[in-house]
Amino acid sequence: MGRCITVTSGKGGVGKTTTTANLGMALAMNGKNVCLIDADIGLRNLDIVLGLENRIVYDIVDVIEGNCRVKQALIRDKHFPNLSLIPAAQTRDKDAVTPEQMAELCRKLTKDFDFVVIDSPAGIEQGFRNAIAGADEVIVVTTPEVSAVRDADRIIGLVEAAELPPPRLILNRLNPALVQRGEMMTTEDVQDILAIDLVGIVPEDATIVMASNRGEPAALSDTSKAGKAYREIGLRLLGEDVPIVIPVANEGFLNRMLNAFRPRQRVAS
Amino acid sequence: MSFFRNLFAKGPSSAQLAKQRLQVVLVQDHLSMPPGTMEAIKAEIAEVISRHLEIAPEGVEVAVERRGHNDELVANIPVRRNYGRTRDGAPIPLERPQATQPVGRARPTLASGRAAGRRRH
Ligand SMILES: Nc1ncnc2c1ncn2[C@@H]1O[C@H](COP(=O)(O)OP(=O)(O)OP(=O)(O)O)[C@@H](O)[C@H]1O
Ligand SMILES: [Mg+2]
Repeated sequence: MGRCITVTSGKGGVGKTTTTANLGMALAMNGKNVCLIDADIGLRNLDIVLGLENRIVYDIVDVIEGNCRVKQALIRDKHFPNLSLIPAAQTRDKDAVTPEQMAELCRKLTKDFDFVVIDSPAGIEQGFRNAIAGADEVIVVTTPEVSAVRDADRIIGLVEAAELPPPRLILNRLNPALVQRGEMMTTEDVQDILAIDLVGIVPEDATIVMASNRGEPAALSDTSKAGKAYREIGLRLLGEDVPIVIPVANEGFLNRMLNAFRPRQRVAS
Repeated sequence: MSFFRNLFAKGPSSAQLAKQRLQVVLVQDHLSMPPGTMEAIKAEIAEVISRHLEIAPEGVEVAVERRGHNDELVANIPVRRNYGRTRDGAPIPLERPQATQPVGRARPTLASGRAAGRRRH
């Protein structure tokens, strides 16, 4: 039996699709049989981030409505034959699928795959409910911003209310230079607030945008810092003990000196 | 230039503000209380306690705070010290003059038998 992992966030645009694509790559690189599901029905994206948009014949609603067999809807990745995608339907609505149907699909897939990774839509409604219906575990993605963290907290509560194990956290788009200047919450700040286990930190990194422009996730690149972070998260999911290193800014000499002399800022209570 | 602004800036950084604001708003999110609930809880706690102890109602503070993974209701209820008086407010007759007793310390009537005995020697 494989594991079904749902990637979700509450707030939109924090990096769920990026994370799903890169974790899929990272797990496939380690020889695992992986199936990705784009559960963002109506806003299909995972296909284009993976560079598979031209290969779609059937989608998840076709599978669930029985218009095709599961095997027919699976799109094989260009790099790894052990990585497949079931794309979202683009012209349908989120309630074309029920949580029971999703759970059933996940049960079927985990018979054949080591990992099923589901890209959840933003929000806390039906689409989110569908995305976690078949999950064994949940990964919450957030950025170090107040609105994303608040929504992540809400999602964590909903996941626990659904009697799933406590989700794990990916902190995405951490900007070390901003953190150093005190203008972005630190990893510890976010961990203090959300109080769930951290499974990785992905830095803000232009290679993420370049990678999705090309349809080649950053995890494939040896030079991308974000790609390296995702490969390490993949290893942690496989149970390897890879320490989490908090990214630091490589600031210029002048800024380092100024930081050294800058008075410690206090919080008035 | 941002580094000059930072160099001379006073008060919390924007990251510290973010954390503080989140801690407050998340507690509210978790409880989803109608407005005024905290005030009602405060008044009722004060009322219950004052049935048994004399409290300083203006100093009562009630808040829900985040402690790790839990939210906890924390109440501060200042209690009036009530030296040398019985429950219904009548002064307790003292055996010795009060002048040498430091104000705001242990009540002489509550001194334990052993300590009181030793003092007499
Ligand atoms: N670590 C990063 N560094 C730089 N850009 C990033 C990073 N992570 C994500 N992005 C960019 O942020 C945008 C949103 O990412 P993504 O589509 O993965 O978010 P999402 O959570 O799936 O959004 P939605 O809620 O709309 O589905 C994309 O343009 C992506 O390239
Ligand atoms: Mg997405």
